[in-house]
Amino acid sequence: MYLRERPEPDGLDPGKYHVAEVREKNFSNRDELIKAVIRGEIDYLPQLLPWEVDAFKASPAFEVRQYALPITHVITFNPLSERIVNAQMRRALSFALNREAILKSIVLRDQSMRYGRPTSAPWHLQSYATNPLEKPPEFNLRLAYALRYAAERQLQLAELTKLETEAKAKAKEAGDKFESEEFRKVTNVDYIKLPRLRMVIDPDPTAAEAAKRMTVYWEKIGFEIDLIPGEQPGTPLTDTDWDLCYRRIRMEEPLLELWPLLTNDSSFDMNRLKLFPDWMRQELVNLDYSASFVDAQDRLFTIHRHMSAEAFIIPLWEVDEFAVWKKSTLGIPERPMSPYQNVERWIVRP
Amino acid sequence: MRKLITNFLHIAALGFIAMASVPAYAQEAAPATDAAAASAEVPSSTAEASKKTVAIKVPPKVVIPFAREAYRVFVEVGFHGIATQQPALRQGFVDQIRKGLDRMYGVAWNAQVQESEWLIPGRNERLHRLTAEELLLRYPESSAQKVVLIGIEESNGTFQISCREFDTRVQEMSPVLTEETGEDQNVANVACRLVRDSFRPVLLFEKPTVVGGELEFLLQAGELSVPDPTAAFIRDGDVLRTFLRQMERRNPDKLKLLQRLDLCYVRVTGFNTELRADVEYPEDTPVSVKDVTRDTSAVYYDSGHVRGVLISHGPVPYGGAGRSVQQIALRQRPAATKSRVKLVLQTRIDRPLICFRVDKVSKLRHTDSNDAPGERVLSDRNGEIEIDVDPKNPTFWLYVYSGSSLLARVPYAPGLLPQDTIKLPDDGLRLGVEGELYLFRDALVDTVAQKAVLMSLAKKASAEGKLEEVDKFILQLDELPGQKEFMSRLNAIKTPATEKADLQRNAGVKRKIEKLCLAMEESLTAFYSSDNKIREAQELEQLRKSAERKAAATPGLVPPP
Repeated sequence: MYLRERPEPDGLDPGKYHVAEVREKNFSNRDELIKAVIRGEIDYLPQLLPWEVDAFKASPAFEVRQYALPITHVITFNPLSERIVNAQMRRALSFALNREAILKSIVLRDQSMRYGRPTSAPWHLQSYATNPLEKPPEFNLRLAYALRYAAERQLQLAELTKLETEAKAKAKEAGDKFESEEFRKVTNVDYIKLPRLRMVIDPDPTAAEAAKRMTVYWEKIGFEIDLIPGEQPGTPLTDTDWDLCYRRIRMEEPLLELWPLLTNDSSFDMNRLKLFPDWMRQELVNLDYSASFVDAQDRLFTIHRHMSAEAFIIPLWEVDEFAVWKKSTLGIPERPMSPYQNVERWIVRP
Repeated sequence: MRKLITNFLHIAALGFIAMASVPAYAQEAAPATDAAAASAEVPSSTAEASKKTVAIKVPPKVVIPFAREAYRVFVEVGFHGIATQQPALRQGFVDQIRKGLDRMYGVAWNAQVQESEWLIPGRNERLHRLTAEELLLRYPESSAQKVVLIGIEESNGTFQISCREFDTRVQEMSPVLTEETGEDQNVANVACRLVRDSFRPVLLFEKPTVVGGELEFLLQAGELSVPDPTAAFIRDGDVLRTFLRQMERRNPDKLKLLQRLDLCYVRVTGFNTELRADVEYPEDTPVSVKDVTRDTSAVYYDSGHVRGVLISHGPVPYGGAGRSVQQIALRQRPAATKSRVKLVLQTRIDRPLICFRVDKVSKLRHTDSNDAPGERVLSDRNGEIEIDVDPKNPTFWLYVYSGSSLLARVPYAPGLLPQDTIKLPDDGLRLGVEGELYLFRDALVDTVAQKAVLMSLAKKASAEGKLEEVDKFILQLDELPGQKEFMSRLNAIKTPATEKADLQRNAGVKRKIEKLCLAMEESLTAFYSSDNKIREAQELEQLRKSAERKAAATPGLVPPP
């Protein structure tokens, strides 16, 4: 992983030599990993689970440091999916989730939620891009049910209009009189249902468990969801194979990183913005034309408000992240941004 | 019909005069040395006499009808490469091109083909770098009507031939066409073919047609026969680009102002019209001439006139009467398989319009119905869209949308120019309001949905006789935002936007914003109408009463013994 190429000069205090080499060890079992850390076989564990943090903090042998940015859990939509039919459907999915309950019971395993909180944005809540007036989406199962019904009804009305147009054309051809109101009254389009959705899950045990709980809420209001584990073997999924994605992201610069997140692509292909209405597309495009920091912030505030209201992304929660070092390791950053930040300056005392 | 034949005969008569005058015109164009030699043979006394005659009698200016006027063309051939350093080879190529063009255009071209003294090196890049201003200095309008530049470049036994045409009347160059060949015998053929493809015949607007709303043009040299049928000036589906030449009033031959009408085309709908004598019309009066037998078998082709439909994005000063204005058109065929069109802001052309929806519809006039559904494209990161050439539809209509509003409707002929720009008005403010109203509508939908859910729950509780729950749901219904809250939110959207429009002095956008908000206000008023409110209150009152009745009828719980 890391090997110092330039040897440090001789004749110094051996206790002040920097890291010469980093070796990574993989564990398939989390318990085995924790045991190895406690036994001193490992100097550094880059990621702690929320319920492990307090135990390490209490131990005098370890140094626990919190990462500068928390990790944010969000659900993004496939911009090319034809199954995400309208805004009411996205909003129904968002309103149906009891974020706080899932966060407390599954993600943090802590009723006081010390290391996590529900969020309203795909970036961290302390970011300059966070609109302070925006609150996390409320949990309102009744409203979610009504919106799901509205989304389904919209599909049925579209089908009804299509059938009406066809019937009108046929009647015109045959020279018959056509009554639109009567036709709409007697025609049954109940066979039109909302499509079954497929959600890909980030390869993480906590995310998988949280996703399972979310499907319970969605099924309550009538959605049918298939879960696709992100680490499943086989050929990579194409754009036609999935509709939603449970992702864990750490957005350092929302101004630059928002676009790839929304389009699920880094090539800036305009066709991947088809999911969004024109005004939202222009808001995203105009981010590039911000004349100043204040202007950029103002635009991001507007986008934040609009994203929340229209559920272009379903923000879930953000979780603080921690890393643990053995006390014998010095020179580690106070609030690291990444696991190996300044690794060449770390000092490992014998 | 009769009128057409009269026109034709009139033009034919003028043509006869013109044909008689062609040699004189040719003499004028001939080198000065020949004229000097010819005059030298005339005896001196006669010369003096003729001088006197000239002083007294000024010969009338001969006007050649436009449809019979041959193109005055300079063909400059430039060379580059080791093999082309041999003078004999170069001269051979020039001679072959001259002969080839003569075979192709015959009398329709009065061409002077020569090895260029200035097009050095005659490379493709050199042709690309040429500018219209540079060429206009070299070839003013009085010297030639068309300049054709051919570059022959040799490299490792392969010849790359490039060609570009310059029109002195519209001061514009055609795109560069390039082709390669490995055989030196084929070079002249390829060059002639490229010249043919680069050449843009010129048409002069004559008058609008009586019926059909079309325009009628005179085609330069249209009545002169072109020997090679592949070099015909006009064919079905051709597109004309339009130009206006404002001439000086006192000196009608001098150009005052040249205007290129962008995104304004003429689609050719008729040419080579048949003029028949065997068709009789009710308005025709039979005329008989003594000793002349009427020949009804004659059929004439009016090749000097072209008819077409003007298609433009809006009203343009073309196709009407204009004093001292030449309304001319250039027939141009696609030189590329596609064109890139850039959408930019009218007020700031450095600002591309990215991710705008454009519908490409193939039809002749914008008022025609769509035979096939349009193709939807989005402008890319540079604000550009790519439009492929379709041989069946030489022109398209592009509908540019911004949200629910149609921003522009412009015709476009792909392939004529490799790159083009469309300037569009700024719709950002109105689009922002549309977005806010979108959210406003969703908030209204939420309220309606919640109201429906609470009402159904209240009904259920009333049926079960649960009075407390009915009261709870009624309370929740009262807490839902009402008309006042929504009106205040609507004003919060409308007022800043209209103020901004006022600041920008954009009355059009302000009107559109007010219209959008008014439509939303009307929906709101209809939803919160007093009739609806009364009906709702009555329904809740009934539910409450019904719950009360049922609660009274239900026996109380008996405590366990």
